[in-house]
Amino acid sequence: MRYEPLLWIENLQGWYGESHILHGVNLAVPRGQTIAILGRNGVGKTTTLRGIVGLLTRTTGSIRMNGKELIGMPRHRIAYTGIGYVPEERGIYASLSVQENLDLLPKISNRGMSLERIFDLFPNLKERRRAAGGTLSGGEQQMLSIARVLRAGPELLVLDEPTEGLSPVVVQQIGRVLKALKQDGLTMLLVEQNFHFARHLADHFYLMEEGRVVDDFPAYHLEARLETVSSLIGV
Amino acid sequence: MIFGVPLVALASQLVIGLFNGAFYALLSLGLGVIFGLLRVVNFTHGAFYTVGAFAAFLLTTRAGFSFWACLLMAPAIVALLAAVLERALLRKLYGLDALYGLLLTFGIALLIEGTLQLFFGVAGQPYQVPAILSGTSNLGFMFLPHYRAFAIGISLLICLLTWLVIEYTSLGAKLRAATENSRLLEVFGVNVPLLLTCTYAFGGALAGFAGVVAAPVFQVSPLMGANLIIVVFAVVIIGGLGSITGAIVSGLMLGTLEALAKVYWPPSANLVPFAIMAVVLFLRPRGLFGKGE
Repeated sequence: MRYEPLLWIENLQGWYGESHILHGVNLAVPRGQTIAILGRNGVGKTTTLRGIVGLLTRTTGSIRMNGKELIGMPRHRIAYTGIGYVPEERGIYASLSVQENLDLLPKISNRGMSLERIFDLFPNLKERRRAAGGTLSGGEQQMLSIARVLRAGPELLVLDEPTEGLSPVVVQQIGRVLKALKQDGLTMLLVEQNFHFARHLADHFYLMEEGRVVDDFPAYHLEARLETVSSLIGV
Repeated sequence: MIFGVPLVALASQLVIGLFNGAFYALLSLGLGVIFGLLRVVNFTHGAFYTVGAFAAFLLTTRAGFSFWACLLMAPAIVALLAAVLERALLRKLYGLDALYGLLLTFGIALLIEGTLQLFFGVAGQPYQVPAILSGTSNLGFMFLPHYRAFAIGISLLICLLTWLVIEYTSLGAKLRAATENSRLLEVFGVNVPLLLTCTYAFGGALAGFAGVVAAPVFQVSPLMGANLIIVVFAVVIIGGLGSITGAIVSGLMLGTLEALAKVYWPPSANLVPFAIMAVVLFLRPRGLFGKGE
């Protein structure tokens, strides 16, 4: 049998409104690995993730998750292929309480994390479970955004800039959580501006430029490529 | 005597006011829920109310169903009609300017009301008050018609149940979440298109229910909804577009104030809703209970 990764993107073209943003993205996320997409602002990293979960106006090419084609699938069915999406803007429902946000997502598998484990990973959320989502700090919102999808039981966690705009302490806390999830065998696809955060987490890197993947290499080649990477993403 | 008006007259008017207010509340609640989620100003709402009353009228006079059966069947019929309209027509306008939805639903209302006029004319049809509720009680300070008391009670009960479902159940949480950001909710695996159909059908069912409750008191006529709906829009604006509590509270409040106006200065009664709307718009444009955007 041919080996197929959990998520497999081939020649993905993507449009947002009238603008053609993705010009052929090729990417594979093997089971159990953490993949990071690096690149400057505006090269199509976030757009790639939005394309996966069906948030673009139009996409062509192929996105296969667990062997199922996502392009053309109704948006509300995509999660059931095993994808948990943590959007860049976090997407916390401001008028819902923390508890309601945690209970909001339909269970997509029986791997869904128990509330106990969630509050174990994110003790702050337990204290604030009655608070309205809109009153949370940026860090708490990010934690809630991650916790919420973990409750649904995804196989693949798609994270868009999880550390953006957060204090170093919170970044560390989120880093610890993601490492623990990785050790549990969760597969992750990560877009991250914070290169130092990504390099401690990812097994494989993809570099994007102008709507395309221009290079990819395993984490153990990172040292050798540090200069090219730095010049490309401007670290 | 209170400000020169006998207590009996005042109390009777207040009951009539609460009775009208209960209809305002049921109708504006449905309008509010629909607007909150679908962003459609549903001008078909008055026609749904009319269809509910006619469904009860036909089910009883032609098929012999009791008022109580109609109370369940007529809203179900209106819900079905609303679901079909949403799936077949309204759905195509999501994402376009809200004006398109308004024009479409206005057109559908004209179509429904015109069709009913074709078959029944404009004259009202009588509908019997169910026998068990036909009496009146002497409360000492006033006579309370049983049917009016029942109508106020059951309408408030339905409003309360709706409010509880929206505020305290997981379905309600999904509705509120979809109101905030429906695309993301879809990404999370919630069937939002189905949720929209159900919401529109439910709003229609509330209007249909109000129509059945209204049938024994007002005449069943093709234009009964058209006459009411304009005031209901004023109620929605006063309460705050999309606010559940606002719809219920301002519905009852407006009915009561209208009734008081009838007692103290009868010519002003029809103006009261719109005068209050103007004042609210001037002082608090997002409505009494509306959240700022």
